[in-house]
Amino acid sequence: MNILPYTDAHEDFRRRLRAFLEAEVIPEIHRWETETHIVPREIWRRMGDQGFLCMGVPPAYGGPGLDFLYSVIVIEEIGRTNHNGLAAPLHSDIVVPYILSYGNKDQKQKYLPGCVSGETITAVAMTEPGAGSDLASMTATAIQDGDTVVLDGAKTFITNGINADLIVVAAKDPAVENPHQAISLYLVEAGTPGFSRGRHLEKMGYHSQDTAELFFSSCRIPAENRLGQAGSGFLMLMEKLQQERLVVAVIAQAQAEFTLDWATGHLQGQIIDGRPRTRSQDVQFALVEMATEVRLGRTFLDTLIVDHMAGKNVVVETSMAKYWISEMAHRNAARCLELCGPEANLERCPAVRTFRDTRVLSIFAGTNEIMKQIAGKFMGL
Amino acid sequence: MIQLTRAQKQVQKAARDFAKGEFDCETAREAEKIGRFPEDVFRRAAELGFVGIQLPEAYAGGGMGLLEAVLLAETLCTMDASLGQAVCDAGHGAECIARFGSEDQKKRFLPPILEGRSGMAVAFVEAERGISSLPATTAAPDGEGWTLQGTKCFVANAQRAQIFLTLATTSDGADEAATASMFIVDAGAAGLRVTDEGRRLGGNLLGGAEVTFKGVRLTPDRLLGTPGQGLAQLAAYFIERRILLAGQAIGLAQGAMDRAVDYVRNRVQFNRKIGAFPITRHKIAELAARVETARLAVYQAAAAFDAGQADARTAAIAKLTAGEAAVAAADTAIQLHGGYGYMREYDVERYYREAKALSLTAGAPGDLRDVIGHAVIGKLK
Repeated sequence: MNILPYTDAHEDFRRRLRAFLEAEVIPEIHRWETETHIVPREIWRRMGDQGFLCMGVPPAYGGPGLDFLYSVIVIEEIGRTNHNGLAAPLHSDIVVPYILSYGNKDQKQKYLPGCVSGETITAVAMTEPGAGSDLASMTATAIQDGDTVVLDGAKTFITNGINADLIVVAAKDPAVENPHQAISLYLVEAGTPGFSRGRHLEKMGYHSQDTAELFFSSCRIPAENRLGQAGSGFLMLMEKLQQERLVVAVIAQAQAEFTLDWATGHLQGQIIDGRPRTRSQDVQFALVEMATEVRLGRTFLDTLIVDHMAGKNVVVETSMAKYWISEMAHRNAARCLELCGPEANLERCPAVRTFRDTRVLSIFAGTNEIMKQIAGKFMGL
Repeated sequence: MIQLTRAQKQVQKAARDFAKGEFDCETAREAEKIGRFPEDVFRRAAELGFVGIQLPEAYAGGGMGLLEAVLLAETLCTMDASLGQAVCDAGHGAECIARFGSEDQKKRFLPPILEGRSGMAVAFVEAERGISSLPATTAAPDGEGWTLQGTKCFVANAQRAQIFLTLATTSDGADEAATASMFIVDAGAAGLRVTDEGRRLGGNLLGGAEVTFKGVRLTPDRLLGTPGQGLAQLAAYFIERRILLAGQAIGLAQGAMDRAVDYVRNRVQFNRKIGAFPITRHKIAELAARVETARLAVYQAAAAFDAGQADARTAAIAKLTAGEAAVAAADTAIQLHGGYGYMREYDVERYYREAKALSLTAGAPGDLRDVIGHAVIGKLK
């Protein structure tokens, strides 16, 4: 049974996107992963040209104005390319929604068309060296000075940090004591004096992703670049982190499905002592166990996507999905390495990249410990 | 618990002092990134007698037992996963010459290796054969000697090797009579080709290669031990090798755990040291239990080996337990470090990759379970 109400139009879109990724992205991944460690801006523009960015932005702002299932398709298909450098899901379904939901008409008119076309690449800057799980303890400041706001502070682990042209920055008004009421969100353009990028961070995986540190030093922006109400930043973050976590669950599910498919095919073709590996009972059971987990994840996730699209309160289920599916994806990738044996120590074995990439899923967008904390709270524990 | 003797404690102290002076994490990180063997560090380790510490003094070994070799490996790998493993494994294979070789072979081949003047590599594994199976590589009788034909893969340290140890099927008769033999092959022999296999998940300091023998001529003095005893020698080799790798694994586990403990003692989130949270304490407790259990199994196996009582089962249990403890410890260390854990700079991601790679070598978990199950259940009538 199909839980998600995909139409022919959705399926056509998926085929078109898949063909695009096969032609223009997949052949380049090895080079991005091992040499450049960044996805060229040209690919973002090509994604925009083809209508693969910002599916939810309405036509009034240059977008296709399509439902969230189109976003799900983009996230899944990029997940199945077995690389995470092209962080279009972060741009389209995590950062741009801040502008779409909380921006005023002027902000939307100014920024959204570029986001849709791929001219403008976005990032969101919450995490700081000293403020990870404890987001409210951030120390970056935003002080109003006439019709400008002055930003100071450091952010880290920022996805798209090197490519980003427009950054949604969370910072505190030091005059407000309650940390939950002190945070506001600001739109910062990359060329603004006082804004600089730090190191392009080297990671276990996501080798084609330009994760970076960002610095703000007396960075003066127009006061009109504040997003939404002053002091409502923490609430906006909490609200939008829901979809961010759902996006992570979709990526994790897509990567789990990719790994299982790859491993099944590979082990069927791997002949050891004259016998395909899949003729061994232990290999069969392992693949069946993994396939069972993948199906359970898919069913839970698709139901959650339907509820999310219907606007239901899915805080508990989203936390559960992010936690369980991210761990399942990595656990299964690790298990595939074991089944493949010593050849799985070579980077040319695709499951190695999946193993390295899926490890971060249980950390970012709120660690799985935070997911359990949130679920526990909303379960009344 | 085995009580360590004064001499054994001295080995631990010497290893710790050496690593404190010679290992630094930036060198390790860089060497691991570009795949460079730390020649200087290795030469000084050899000068201290760390290479082949369990092999006879008459051939430049340390004259100690496998328990001492395990203590050395454990300590070095605790101090740094990558440098520790590289130093421990650069002389890998010498044990086969020491255990199975003739007096002439030992005198001729061991001192250059154990004094760190020369390198060797073990080329046993083949792409389409199980790790304990009769190899597809053949050594056909050819006058006085043999002609070697075949391809080995996942050969660590191949680029530095002056000699290769390999395993080839030496009988030309029916399957039931088929036997294998071990040979020492010069790296410069005509018909031998080394092809780099590229970057690996772990073990990048030693690197990996495919080694092809195309009509390589072997003189009679290149046969190691008795002809036809290759598979029995392989089984004996696996016992020593797996215990030693298990020693490295408990070092990796301890090293990852030490770094996690250090981090949770200092990192503050939600106005508390994260080490104060019950869930953190339980995660660390779980690791402590696993590392200590694994250490017991490994020391026990090494002591049994030195008493001439180790068997395939004991060695496989040690490697399975220790390998899984190392993977779990590094995995948890990453999670407790949050975003930092995923960064190259914080080293625990490197421990995780090294641990996972180690768990796949010389018997992946499935191979080890086969060995243990076979030994425990026995032959069924």
